[in-house]
Amino acid sequence: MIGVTACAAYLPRYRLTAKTINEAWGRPGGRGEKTVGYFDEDSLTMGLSAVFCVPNGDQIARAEALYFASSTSPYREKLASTEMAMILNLSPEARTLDIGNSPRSGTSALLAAMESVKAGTYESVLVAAADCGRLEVPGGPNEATWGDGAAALAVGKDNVILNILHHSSYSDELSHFWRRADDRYMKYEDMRFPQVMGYARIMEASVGNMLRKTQYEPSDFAKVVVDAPDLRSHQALMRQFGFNGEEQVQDPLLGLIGSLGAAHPFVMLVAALQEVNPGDKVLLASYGDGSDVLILQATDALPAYKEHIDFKVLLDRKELMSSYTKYLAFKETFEVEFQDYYSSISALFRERDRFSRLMGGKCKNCGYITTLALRVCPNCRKKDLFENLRLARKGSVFTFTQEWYYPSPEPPTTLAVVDLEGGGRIYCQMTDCSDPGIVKIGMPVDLTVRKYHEALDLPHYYWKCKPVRA
Amino acid sequence: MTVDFKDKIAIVGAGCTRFAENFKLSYGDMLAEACFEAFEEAGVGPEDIDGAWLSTAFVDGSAMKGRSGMDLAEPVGLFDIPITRVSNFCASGGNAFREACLGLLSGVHDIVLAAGAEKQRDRPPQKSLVKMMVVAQHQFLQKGETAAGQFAVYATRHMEKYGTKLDHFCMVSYKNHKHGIKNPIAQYRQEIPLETIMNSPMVAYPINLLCSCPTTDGAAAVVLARAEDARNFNEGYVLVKAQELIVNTGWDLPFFDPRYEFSCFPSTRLAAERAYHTAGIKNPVKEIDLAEVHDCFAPVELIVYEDLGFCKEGEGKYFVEEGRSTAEGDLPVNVSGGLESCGHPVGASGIRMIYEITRHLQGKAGERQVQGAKLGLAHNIGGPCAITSLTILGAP
Repeated sequence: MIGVTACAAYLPRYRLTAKTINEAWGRPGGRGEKTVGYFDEDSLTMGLSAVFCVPNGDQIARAEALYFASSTSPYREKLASTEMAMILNLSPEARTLDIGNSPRSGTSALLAAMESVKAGTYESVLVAAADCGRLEVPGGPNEATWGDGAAALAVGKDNVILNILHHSSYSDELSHFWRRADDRYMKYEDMRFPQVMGYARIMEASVGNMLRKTQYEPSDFAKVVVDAPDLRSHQALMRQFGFNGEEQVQDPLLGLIGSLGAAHPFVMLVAALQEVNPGDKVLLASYGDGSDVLILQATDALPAYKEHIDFKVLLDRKELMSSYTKYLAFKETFEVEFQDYYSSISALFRERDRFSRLMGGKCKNCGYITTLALRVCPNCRKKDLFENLRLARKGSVFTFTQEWYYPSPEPPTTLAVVDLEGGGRIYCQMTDCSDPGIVKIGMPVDLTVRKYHEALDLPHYYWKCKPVRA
Repeated sequence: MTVDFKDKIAIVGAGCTRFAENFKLSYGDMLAEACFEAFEEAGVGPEDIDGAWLSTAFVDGSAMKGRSGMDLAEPVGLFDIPITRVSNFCASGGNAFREACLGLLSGVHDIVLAAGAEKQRDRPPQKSLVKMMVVAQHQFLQKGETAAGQFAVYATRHMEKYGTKLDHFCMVSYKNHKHGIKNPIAQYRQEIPLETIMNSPMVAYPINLLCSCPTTDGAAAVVLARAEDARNFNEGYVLVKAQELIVNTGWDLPFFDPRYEFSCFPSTRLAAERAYHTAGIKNPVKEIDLAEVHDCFAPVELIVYEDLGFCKEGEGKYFVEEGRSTAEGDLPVNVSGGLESCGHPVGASGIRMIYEITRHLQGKAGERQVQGAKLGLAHNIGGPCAITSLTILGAP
């Protein structure tokens, strides 16, 4: 049967509390917090981060297609999925597809992946869903509502952990939240009207239709994973259907991470999996300009897979943003001081094996490993004997400096010489590091892709190291 | 590979402008000033020079001046001769000097000029070297790093490996600022309390602001002839004992090369080994009377003590702590005030150091004179660490 063969969630490190926001605007109280992407993250890097979180690396190598779901792609024209596939070193014959414009796009990508496998076109399809930068206007009432995050799933026929038993889609035009093509901030009009006539009505129809069609009772599901724009609407809907209690109903996590757009249903699913056992059925539903509903069933392969994903660790590995000002610097006001960084689209193209794909070159004569785009080996001085070598995304700091004069919303910028496990050395910025005092020679780091700058008005993605945290 | 320069080439004239924010002087004005001081000492005019080398490291600071030999011809009146521009980062000056020496040694030329100039303060400091490093280089490689950071990764590693402390770097800067008081051409001529240096803001950890050289304008020049002709020009000439130029790695390579240790400068070690051999130096601390070494950032000078064999590996901290490199110490280093007091107009610095050593060997260094100096050393490292120029000069 066709189903999900792998899944993982990614949450950025920072959290902003509603209280911090309210304090900044002179308002009392505030409950809950939301995730905030680091200043060098966007939906493309978060989608990649989620893919890197997938425990079995073979899933990536095997993927014949990559579908990327996001309403916050860094590009209006240019496929984020193609750039991600290039970085992930997928085959050039892989199909790449960007799906967007709605928090429903994540499940839509999953359904498209399922259908591609079902049609026999591909054996394995990778789905990445990410949103970063769905913003309320500063000072607006929904500033704590939308967070940043991502999830990745693989769909195929072999080693399935969650079979897809049923699926249906429901389309209904209603203006709940929207952004026009050039809007920076989320738009909305009434709050009550879309809760009643939007979410409640549409989800009653979509989930209700599915239950009627399949003849399942609400009690047939071990877990009910239903996205929602707000907590009250979610609670009302669960009551309406008679889904009961914490054990059955997956918390929408809105007060912990905010609403993560395309990634949200999947992040909830990853959270729910901790309590799902073989044979259990899971109801998964998204919301946005309608709704997609899926019924999934856990296979015997799930328990072994679950050992590699611990959602609680992901949730708890966080750092509260010290101030609203810093949040603004990350999201709103920070512009790179030097706008005229050198770059070249032809150089980006010809050096993409080394720099975008993190492929080293190993000298066939002497075994020396380079991470630069060289033709002559600096060790044995033979020409054109470097073979591509996949480098580890793990290593340790050999030496470092911290630059206070490089423009950044969070100086200093740490630069580290990193020795990679299995060979090769790279020199790059450190990210997710607000405390320069933690940086030490010998500290373990992971490599991840982040945005360095936008020379030529083009986002430039390259590797950064980040501290490995318990 | 080593060229035996010993006692074959003579410096017969030397000149240097104030190293300062020379807002009233253009790139060409400074070259004219430095070259004519050297001409006057040698008793020649521009029409007597039959070959020249111009050192300017970066040309984007001042209307692209310094791109070619033309930019020496025009302001100084050198025409109808070969003039070559030399650019090799901070070692550019030493490199131009070397080419001039080779020109004489080959027999092609009889009287040559090596001049260096850099006009940095037609732009605010943030837009000069900092901008070049941060903005103009490769879109990914070393991105985020300033010139200070390129050397800072060495300092961090040295601290880890040998227990060197930030205080030791500050002691180097303290000493050099104190020396600078007596140098009339230096940009900064005041003592800075050690505590002020230690508390100055961080630029690139572990390098702070007062352990960094300023942004400066300046030019320097020397007139050279073969040793046998030296007396025809100037009684006070000095002799070249050795000159080495070593490029041991690349611009990006050291940071991405798993073989690299970051606790020493291999190009300097190799240059010292070869130069000492040519000059017949066995014990540098005993035999060398003064040294001008590259202190663009204070940790560099401390590490260079070790690479030049002034002390053992890892013991640079004791060398500065014990005051051995002060004007009164057993090997005075940077009695000019170094790059930290003089400033570092990149293309001019190497020749300024040669000018400095020349004045001491002539006994004409004024207040800062190292008494009885007979042998001096001038050292530059650049690119950031791939290139070393090492020149040893001696009194006849």
